Amino acid sequence: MSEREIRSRLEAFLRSRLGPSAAPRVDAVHRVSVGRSRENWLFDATWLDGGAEVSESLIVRRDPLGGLLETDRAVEYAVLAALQATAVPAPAVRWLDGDGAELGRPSLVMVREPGECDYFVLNGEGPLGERVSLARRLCALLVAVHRADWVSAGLGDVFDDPGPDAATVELAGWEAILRRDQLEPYPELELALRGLRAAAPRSARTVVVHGDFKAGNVLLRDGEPGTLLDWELAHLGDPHEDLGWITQPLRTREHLIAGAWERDDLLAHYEELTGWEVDRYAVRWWNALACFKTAVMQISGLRSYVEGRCDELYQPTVAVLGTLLDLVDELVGEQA
Amino acid sequence: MEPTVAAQLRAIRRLVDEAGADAGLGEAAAQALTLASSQLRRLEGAQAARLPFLVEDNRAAAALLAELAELVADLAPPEPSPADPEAATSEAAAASRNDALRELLARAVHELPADAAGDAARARVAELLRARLARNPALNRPPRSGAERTGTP
Repeated sequence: MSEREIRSRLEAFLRSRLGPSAAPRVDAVHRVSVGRSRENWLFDATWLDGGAEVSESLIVRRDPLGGLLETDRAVEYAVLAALQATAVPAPAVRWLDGDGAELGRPSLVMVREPGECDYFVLNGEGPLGERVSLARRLCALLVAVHRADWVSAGLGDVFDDPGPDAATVELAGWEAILRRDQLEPYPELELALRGLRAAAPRSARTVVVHGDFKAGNVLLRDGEPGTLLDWELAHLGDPHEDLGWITQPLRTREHLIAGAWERDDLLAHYEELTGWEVDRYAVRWWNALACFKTAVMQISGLRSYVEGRCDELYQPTVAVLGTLLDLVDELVGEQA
Repeated sequence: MEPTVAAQLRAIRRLVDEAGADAGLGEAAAQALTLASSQLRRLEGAQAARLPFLVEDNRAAAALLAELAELVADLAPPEPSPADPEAATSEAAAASRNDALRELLARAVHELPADAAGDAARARVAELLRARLARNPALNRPPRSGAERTGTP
């Protein structure tokens, strides 16, 4: 969609939400390439509210035709709206076009928060002490997510609470996506499924799980972690799930600093902040699930590519499948 | 026979790269050309190795399945059709047989008995799959940068 068309659609969309007397105007529309799962457009909106002119810098996240993930914008909208009542620094959400009738595809309009995302900031050029300090603050941000009172916030109306079965429920969810999207057999993933099912841990508590926690989804402003973005994979589940995601062997450069902020440092700091004991076995199981989930996303991306809904060629990689087989082997060995 | 497919792919990629280097291109067009170039590079590296890889993988998978057939019913691998003269040289035939064999391996993983013999057999399947990953020309390519490495959102 061209800038001109999206601008015209956005103005009509804002008119429908704010009323014609608001006379909304949309300026400075441009597409940004950050984020791999949604089509993001930045824009400024100005409208009249009771005679006074109001301006906001906004972002619209539109579903692409295809890609790594197919998630529901209405669910993401409900999550973001619910999180406004908590201490979690989630973006303020404004409006939803759930079926895409107005903006062409399902879309979410949010306030554009200040700051920049940097996937690899922990291993960037900043002084080591500052990077370790940032890593600790990112850990505190994750704790804020896990400590959020999801019952009071109403997230129990958005998601089911999987309770102690969080691991098997999550595994079943990703298996369902695999079955929907796989174009060919993957005995590697069948081995992983069998091993993960047999070795699944039980969850001791239910929290809000972000699902894709990483520095690349945190807006940094003057070196301080600010808003946490990309809530499309959020759900209720086991806190070990996010810990497994951020300690998975394939993404250490995003989350750990060799010799200064290792896996054990991160888990110990998390325990210190929460007062909860981290089950190291459960983290390893969720490490493996993180690889399984990544492989399934790549398979969804491959299907989108083959069907012409996505231009980028995704495929389960050697690193993902090989690491998954190794991790599941270790888990099964421990169970034997 | 010249020009080889690899040489033609290289030539096409040169054209794409030259077009992509035009400073006057818009961001979307430049990104599309970068994507096209990276996919051509990937194809250049993988296309010549694809048929030999499939032939070898089919041989290894069929041999293992023949052994596993002692533990799981109806696991005998399909034989290539002797009536099809292209069966040994056609990439499409080799790929189709590869899918059939991998389907049998996937079934075996779940149907092997849950005992020591079954576990040992599954370990052999895992060994075969690891070897396949290491050889697969479509998956082994120069690393890309940043988040592209894991292909996640």
